[in-house]
Amino acid sequence: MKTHDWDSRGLVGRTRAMITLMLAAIAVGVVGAPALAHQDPAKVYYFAADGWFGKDISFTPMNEAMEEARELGADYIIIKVDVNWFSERDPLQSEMPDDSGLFDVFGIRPIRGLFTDEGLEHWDEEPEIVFWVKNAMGSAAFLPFLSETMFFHPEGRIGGIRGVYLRFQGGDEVVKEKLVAASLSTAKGMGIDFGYEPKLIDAMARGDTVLSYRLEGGRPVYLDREPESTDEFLLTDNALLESRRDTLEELARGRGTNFLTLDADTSQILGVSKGTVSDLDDLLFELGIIRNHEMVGDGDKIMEDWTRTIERTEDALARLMREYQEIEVEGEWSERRRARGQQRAKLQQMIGLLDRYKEALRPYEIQGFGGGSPQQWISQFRIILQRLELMQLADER
Amino acid sequence: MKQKTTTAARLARGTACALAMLACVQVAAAEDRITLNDGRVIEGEIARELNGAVWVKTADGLTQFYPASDVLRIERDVDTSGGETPADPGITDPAPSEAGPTETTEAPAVRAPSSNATRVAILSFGDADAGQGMVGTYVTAQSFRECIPLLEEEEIDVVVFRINSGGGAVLELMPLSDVFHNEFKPKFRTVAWIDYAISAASLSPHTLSEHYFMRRGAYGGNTAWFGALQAVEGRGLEDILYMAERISERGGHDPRIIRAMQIMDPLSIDLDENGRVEAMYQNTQGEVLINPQSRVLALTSITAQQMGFADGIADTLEELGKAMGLTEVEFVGEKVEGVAWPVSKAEKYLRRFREQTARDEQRLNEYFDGYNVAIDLARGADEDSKGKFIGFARRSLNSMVRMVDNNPRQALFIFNRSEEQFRDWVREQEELLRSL
Repeated sequence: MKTHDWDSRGLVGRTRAMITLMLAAIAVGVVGAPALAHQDPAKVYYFAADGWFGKDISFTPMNEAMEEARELGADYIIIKVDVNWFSERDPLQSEMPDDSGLFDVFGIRPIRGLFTDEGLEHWDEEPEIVFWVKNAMGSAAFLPFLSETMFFHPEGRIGGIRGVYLRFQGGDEVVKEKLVAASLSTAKGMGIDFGYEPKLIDAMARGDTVLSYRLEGGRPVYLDREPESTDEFLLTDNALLESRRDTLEELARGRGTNFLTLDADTSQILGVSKGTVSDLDDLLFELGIIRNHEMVGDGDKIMEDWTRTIERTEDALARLMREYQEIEVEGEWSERRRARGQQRAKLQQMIGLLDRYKEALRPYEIQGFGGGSPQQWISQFRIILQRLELMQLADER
Repeated sequence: MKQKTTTAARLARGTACALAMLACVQVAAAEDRITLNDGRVIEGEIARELNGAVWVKTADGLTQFYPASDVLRIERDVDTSGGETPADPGITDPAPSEAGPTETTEAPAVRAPSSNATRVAILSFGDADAGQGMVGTYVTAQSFRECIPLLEEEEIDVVVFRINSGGGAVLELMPLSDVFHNEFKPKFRTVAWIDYAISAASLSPHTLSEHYFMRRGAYGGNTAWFGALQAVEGRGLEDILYMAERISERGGHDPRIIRAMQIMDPLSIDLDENGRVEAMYQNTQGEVLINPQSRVLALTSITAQQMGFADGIADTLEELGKAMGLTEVEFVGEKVEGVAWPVSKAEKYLRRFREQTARDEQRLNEYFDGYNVAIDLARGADEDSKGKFIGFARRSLNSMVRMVDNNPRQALFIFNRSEEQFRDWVREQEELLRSL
């Protein structure tokens, strides 16, 4: 279910907002926050990237939202990241522990281009893109790293990309190391692009990473070893050492230290997060635009429409497959010809839907379909179409 | 009419650029000073700053990246002419304080083209985001060879290979290297622009001497394998290691770099007081560890700069022009929606080649199935109706022929035949169709 934390303020929240407004009035005078630099209110475009990553959150709806933001001249685009973090097959939708999920950087690649300099080149003025992190787990972990500005929800976390090594079962060590190196360098590159420390990616993904830090001048200095003094703090230790391996007790309580999960506090200390905010007003305050902004567009509607469209497409595909299978080619020549024509029409409709929405469709979830990618099903249907044509040629009156 | 640019003219212009840059360096008086945690002091111009991390352009024109965790202190606009840092008069000549600002001596990298502008074409080496990155299938020596006359037609001076591929077939490595080294290099200044260059997609461009990295760039992971993640071993491995040594030599790179990308050999370096590589080791004894024991190396833009492999960092055409030291540059081609660089004739050809290859790959099973089923039906049909099936089979066969015409490598990858053997097979099939 989608929630909007910024609509759910109570009395405490409103009081807090009033105080923050007063503080903002003081603060802007001191630090010259961007709000007053605008003669006109800053245009803020907001949407939540929630649901299933790669399905509800995929290129097309995000591209549409970004395009709407551009057309409306948004100065800020705020994207709340809150992906589902439970098993798709779990009817109770129980939250998975942090050490679930496997590293997969390639799921983000289709989306990445929307946020790079090249992707924003056609904007008259590049907007400030802000990721607001609640649940950025699994493949979505890389999403917030696609901007220089990231804020956390108090319960926010980035992780669930452990075991880059575990993705590759069997095979020779050197080949697995090659694939790991390729995956990690790609992931680190995305982080580097926006100024994030690449060692954090290692700590999140590789169990044998030992990483700690100390603060100097308020900034972290990363150390590739365990802490050696009280002002040094452990981020991850080596899972390959028996004595350092997370115990079941630690894992069950989310206290494992073999793979890093960034939470709100740690992220802020490390400078990854610019701050922790529980609702949108707090975030607007932190951005310095609480008193002088205008919400524009309806990004949530675009995302929700996409989700509904995919659901309808899945239903339509299941129905078309059923109808196709029910068509019997029998009777007189003209009846057989008509039946094949109906089969062809169903196949062509399925090809059209699969092709249009292939980025978000998972055939194994659709009744009547099975494994394989949408593209494989399209190829299969095209072969059947061709055979129908040949069968019609061979069918004598 | 534009006069044809000769190699000599290009060299002369390149030298002029280099001299202009040198002059530009010498008049710079105010610099930024970055003190690192390890005590080193870097002086130059902060080109970019983000979350405490800095990109510093130093006097030699290179841009170096320093992560926030390495930076102790930043001093801005330090007057280096005041003798605060003693200068070696034999090497540098601190400019008088009244010297003009640096920016007046530097022309913008991208501006309206003039007859003197260096003409640059961007050629995409694969498009992994579109599923068209496979070396050997979508990136072939033959397709790049076809680009050369188109580049000459547009009087291109510099060819930038923009790498976006996750690798591919070993057998295409040397043909690609040969085309780059023997056919491109004598005609053009050749440059690799690294976005995503993994495995074969880094080994073949290793032939080139200049590598500019996008900040997100990834480069390496060259281990050869087959089947279920099985490593190539024995003589096969030695052959590939030797091939990589030859490719390194062509690019003027230390062969130990590529070796660490192929097998689990470590790599470390010593840096001098200016942050330049002083020594490189195929072990862990250097002061900066680039690749630990038991790992395969893949560079990020940071490590590529740290070890002096990257010639610069560039995310945009403007940055690339500057990084290449070009004061006046024209990126040749037309604007195409969805493509971040101008599309030259050669680039247009490459994109069409990949699109056709992709269409053929998707429809290959149709061609096969259509051909085989139509032949079967023709065999069982009476003389009167045989013709329509033979016609169908012929159309399917022609589709396969067109596929190989567009991309001769498909004869091998799909039909497991050399191109010549494939043509023989086609002749046999045509004979079969005639006999039916």
